[in-house]
Amino acid sequence: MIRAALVLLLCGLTLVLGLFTTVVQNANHARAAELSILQRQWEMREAANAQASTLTQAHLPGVRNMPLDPKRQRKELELRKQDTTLAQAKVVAQ
Amino acid sequence: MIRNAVPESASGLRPASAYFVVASVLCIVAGWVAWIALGGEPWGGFRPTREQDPPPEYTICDRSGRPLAAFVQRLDLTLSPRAMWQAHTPETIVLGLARAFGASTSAQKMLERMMPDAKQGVVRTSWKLDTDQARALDLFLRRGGVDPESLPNPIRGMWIERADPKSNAQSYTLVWQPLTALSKQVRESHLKRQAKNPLRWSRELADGIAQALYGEAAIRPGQDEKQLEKQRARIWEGLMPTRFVAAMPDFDATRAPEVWALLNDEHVASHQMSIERGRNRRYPLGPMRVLGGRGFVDRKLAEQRALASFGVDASALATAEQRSAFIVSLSADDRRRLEVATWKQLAEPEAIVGLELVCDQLLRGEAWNGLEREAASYEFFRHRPIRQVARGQGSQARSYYIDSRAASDTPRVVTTLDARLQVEVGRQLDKVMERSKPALAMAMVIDVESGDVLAVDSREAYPFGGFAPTTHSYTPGSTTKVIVMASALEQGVIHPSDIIDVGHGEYHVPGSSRIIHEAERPGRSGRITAAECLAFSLNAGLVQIGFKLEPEVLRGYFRKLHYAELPHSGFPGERPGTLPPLPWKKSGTWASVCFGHEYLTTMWQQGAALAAVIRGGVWKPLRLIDRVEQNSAHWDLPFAAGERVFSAKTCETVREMMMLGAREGTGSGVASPAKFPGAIVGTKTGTAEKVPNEICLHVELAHQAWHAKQGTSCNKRCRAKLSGSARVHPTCYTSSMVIFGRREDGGRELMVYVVVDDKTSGERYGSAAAGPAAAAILREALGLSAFMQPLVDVDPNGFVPSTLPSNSEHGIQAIPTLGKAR
Repeated sequence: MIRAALVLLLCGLTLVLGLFTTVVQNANHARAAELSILQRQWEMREAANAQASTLTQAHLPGVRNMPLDPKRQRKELELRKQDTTLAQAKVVAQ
Repeated sequence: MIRNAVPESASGLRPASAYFVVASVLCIVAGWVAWIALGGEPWGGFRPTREQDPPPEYTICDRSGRPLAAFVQRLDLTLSPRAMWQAHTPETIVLGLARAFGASTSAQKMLERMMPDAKQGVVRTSWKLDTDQARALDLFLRRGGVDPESLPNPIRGMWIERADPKSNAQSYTLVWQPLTALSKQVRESHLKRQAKNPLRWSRELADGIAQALYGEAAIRPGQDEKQLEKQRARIWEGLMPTRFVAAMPDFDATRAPEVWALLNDEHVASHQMSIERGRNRRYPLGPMRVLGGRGFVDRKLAEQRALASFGVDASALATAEQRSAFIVSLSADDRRRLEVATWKQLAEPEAIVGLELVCDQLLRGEAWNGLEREAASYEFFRHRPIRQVARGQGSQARSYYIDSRAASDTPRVVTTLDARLQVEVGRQLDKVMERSKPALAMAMVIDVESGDVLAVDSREAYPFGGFAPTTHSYTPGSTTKVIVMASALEQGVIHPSDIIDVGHGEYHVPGSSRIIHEAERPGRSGRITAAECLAFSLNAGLVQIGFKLEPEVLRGYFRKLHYAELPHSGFPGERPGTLPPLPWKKSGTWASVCFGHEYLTTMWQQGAALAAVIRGGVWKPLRLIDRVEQNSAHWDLPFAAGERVFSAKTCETVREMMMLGAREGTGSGVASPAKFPGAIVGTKTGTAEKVPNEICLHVELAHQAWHAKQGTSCNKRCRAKLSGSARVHPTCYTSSMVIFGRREDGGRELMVYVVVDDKTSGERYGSAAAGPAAAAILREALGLSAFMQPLVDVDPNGFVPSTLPSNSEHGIQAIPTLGKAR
């Protein structure tokens, strides 16, 4: 009787373990898929942060930020030159 | 009895054995789980995909850690038009992406980028169809299917045209408008089943076109599936030839999550369209000549490096023929590997010039092998879950996270540069270029005590290879008089109060017919002191002082100041300059050297030599890199030991003469005490006229730029011809000014040196051409101005008095305006 009970218990435990493993594996699967999505989103946010932090760290107090893109940098430099010329013109006019 | 009562099991095992087997399995499983949980390797029954970024290189920072050059992550939207438009409706995707990217990109622009084969929305296939094929295809397009019994339902957006509209040849081709032919309306009007599935429609189209083109030879649905897929791929290759395009390179990363969500919602597979990561070298404060840049190596060098990576001695295969012969002797497999390695070298940009190259070479040294260079990586497993296949969503594989590692901290090379000063130096040089229109303008700011370069930059009117302050040799002119005077004082052959007769703008060298003229307007004439000779930069005075020194001695001082030798700045292509060999003729080199002629120097060398005198007689190499940092550790680069050239007393005397120059002499126009309130300032100007056989820099640089464009170089004969060519103006000058100063209330002492070579507009004198820029930079560096605007005194409340008229009507005496924060 005891032996039968033990065997029954063991079988029950085996089933529970199997079931538990299935649940854990399924949860792992779902979490891994979710983590993968989060990982991709994190990568994109990291890229945006890297661009923003480079600009922030490089900021010179009192000077307008320069865009990171070289083409836009050239435009900005042209604008700055025009600004200077305008400022000089004002001084002359005064 | 008991034994007999135990029943026999079917397997012959006793129940205890079964119990033991089950327990063992349980133990193994438990043990395995525990092992994995404690860090053991998981089961490798599947192959994970690993994405890895390039390893971190280095960031160049200014002295306060502000990035001047850094790698910044970039996101590209890439797609395979062929794979993408077979499986998705262009209208849906394009409109969705245009919405995701916001106002910066229109849907029309987006469509053009994502369908590079289409011109104004129309793709012209490269097929050459004969009359029968064209007729069969036309029939298919008019009927809208291959079934002759079905009712005609023309496929909109596809038609047949002559292959060459200008020719009468009976050759035709298929022309189509993907936006129409792959639209939802056309698809749903033709598909009876799975009308919402674009892939189904693209397959139907491909099968119909194949049957029209190949006739009976075409593979039909239901036949060999593999061959059918190959046939479809062939048809789509003709319909949409482009396999890869970066539709939105380096797009705004803040838009990425929205774009990614759209791709996910539309079940876009990674081989169809994806967001790829990359990195760009960026210069957040704008391009600076001192930083240089990165570029690509040429094929020859790439091939040599690839060979070297295979252990082949590249020097033994120097010529193209030798390399070709060696490559031919390789096996096909090795040739392919070599080609891959060569392309890798060609595709990878690397530091090629400026500070970028200096830092790159520094960190390649063995001493820096200990820096962490771990690349960021992401490991995942991609597969198609069974339940998705069962639901008919089998086209999109899902990714499962396994592991990821962050990149190690990027090493930071901290320079001695001051970013704000560097930007202001750049602005001043721009002004000089605009005002004086020279061929070249250079400026540097040096911390006198340490020899640290706080700012150095150049501007050129022509394309210029290399970094001008270390590669451009020029005749320095009168700033050399500082060194001649220091040498004479050191030797005790002159005293500041000694009287010298400088005549009236001309000096006849004794024993010869040579007459030395003054370059600048002589501020003094007749009998003046030695100190005034330097302060007013009189050639006649300095030649007489120089004649008191033996040429060997004078040259010896120049050598001690490291003229005519490479300065080892680290910049590529640096020049040593020249110093004429002895003996020096009194009426020739000896006299000329005394006012800075007949020898060539670079700005780097001249700056170091002048700083040595101002410092108190100790020569130090100029320093541009201060330390390397990573994580919380930093490694300081050693300071070079100084070399004493002049005594401190000598240098103090020279400094006083230069201060006299600023007060009353040639520098007084830009550096008088009124212009530098609360500061101690000394100056020396320089105006060197190029001798008749010297080539004007405008002519030389324009000529070199022409050669560079042609891919040739100027040989000796070409140069000889050039020296006789017409000048752009009758006389060419190199104007310069050195100015040093410190605040009376303490702080570091700084030296600014500005060189303006071959100006074509405005005054030629160093004080006029280079002086305003030098003085403005020093004022900014000493904090006497901010953003080149004079400082304004503010009251304790932070206001400055208004210049507006008072409004007594309202009892207001002055309208306060906000003062500039200092």
